[in-house]
Amino acid sequence: MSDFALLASTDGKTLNGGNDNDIAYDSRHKHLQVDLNADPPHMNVYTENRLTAIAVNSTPGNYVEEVLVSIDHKLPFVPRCAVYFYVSNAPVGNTNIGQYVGSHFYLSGTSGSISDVIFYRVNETKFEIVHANQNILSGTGYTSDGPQWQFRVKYMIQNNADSAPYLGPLV
Amino acid sequence: MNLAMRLSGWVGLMSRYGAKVSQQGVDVTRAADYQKVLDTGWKFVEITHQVSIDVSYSSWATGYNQIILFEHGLGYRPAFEFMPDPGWSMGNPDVYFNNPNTLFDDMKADERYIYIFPIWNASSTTALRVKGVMRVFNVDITAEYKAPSEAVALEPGSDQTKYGAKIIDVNARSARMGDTAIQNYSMNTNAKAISLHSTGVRTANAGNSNKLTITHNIGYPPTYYIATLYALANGTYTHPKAGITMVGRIKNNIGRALATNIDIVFTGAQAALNGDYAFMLLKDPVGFAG
Repeated sequence: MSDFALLASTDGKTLNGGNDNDIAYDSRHKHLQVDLNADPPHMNVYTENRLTAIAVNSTPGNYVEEVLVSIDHKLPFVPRCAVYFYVSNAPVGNTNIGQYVGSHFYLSGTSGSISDVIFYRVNETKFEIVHANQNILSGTGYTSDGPQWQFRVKYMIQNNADSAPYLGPLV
Repeated sequence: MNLAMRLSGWVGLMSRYGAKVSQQGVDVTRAADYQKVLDTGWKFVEITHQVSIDVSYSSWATGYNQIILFEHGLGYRPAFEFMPDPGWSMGNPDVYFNNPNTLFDDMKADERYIYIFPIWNASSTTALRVKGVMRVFNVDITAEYKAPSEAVALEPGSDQTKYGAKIIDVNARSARMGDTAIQNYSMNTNAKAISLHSTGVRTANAGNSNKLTITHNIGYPPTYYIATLYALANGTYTHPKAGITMVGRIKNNIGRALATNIDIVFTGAQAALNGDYAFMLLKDPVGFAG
């Protein structure tokens, strides 16, 4: 480590108290950071209402997806991301409005045999928001009710490297 | 507060002591919380450790097996996360080992170590392997904390980039001032360092309809992470850490959350929430708040 650093303790604490948790800022540590000048932007809040009625057939394993957002993040690694889906509209009778879930959200048709989901994924080059429909075990097909859903999507692509791509909840 | 400093550009001294640094182009005396990259009145989400983990274990004993994955040595139970190597997670980031001969056990941290305590089912000597990257934060997630905030009159920022403050990350050996790669800096007024809004512990039980309620009053649904608190106890087998409460990994998709501008209420998705949970809410940058 360097001999030089900028440290600041939290209010009422001393720097030499021996407890890292009393340190408000230590330049020797990495921080979760987001680039304010990234192009395209690395953080955004937007309304997502472009989900379509993608359909899977009766064959288990059948998978269909639509990419709603695709960004070249231009970072030399797989970035850590924070993504939240806030349900602002849902099919009539659905109780999900107001729900707020990180990383992925399962739409109403999801069961043990069908997975209809909106999620994010990221790899070394791209960050994407994806709507996917997958027949996992069902003997019948399924058509997504995606057009009836609306989300406020918040995403932040951070300048912190993760170890591997995050591919979303579907295997 | 021990520090008083003056850097270049948009840096100002607070009363009575301390320092704050605003984002580029924003007057530090008029900067709202979300327009600052450093305020010594806050705690930032610092990463104390980011290390590769590759632990194999095959010395199985009947009952609980105590496996230390990492020594953080922080003296408190920290917020931490683990990014499994895809080859060991079956594509599911919530799973970090795939061994059919042991029961899954969540990672748990005490004041010194991060462990797992899998139970051997006595049918195999297959080795367990945990492989991935551990990230430990300088955050005592179980402590009650809420960051102070200031009410200020906002004024538009300028596009000036001539002035600002940067601190190179000492771990980025080849980094130089002038690099455009934000990840090479510990602090940079062209970037936003994420700071803490609050931490603490809340309880879900039958008395509150198994709902976990976090009142935040932030004004919008904020970035959140939740970690289960595990009160370790003996069961069929003697637990090596019985009587001790440890904290699990942070997650942002626990149960179902109903969010308002005032609070977030979690309910169980497949099973009712029951017990204590630690939380970590973040101060969101302006481009992310909403």
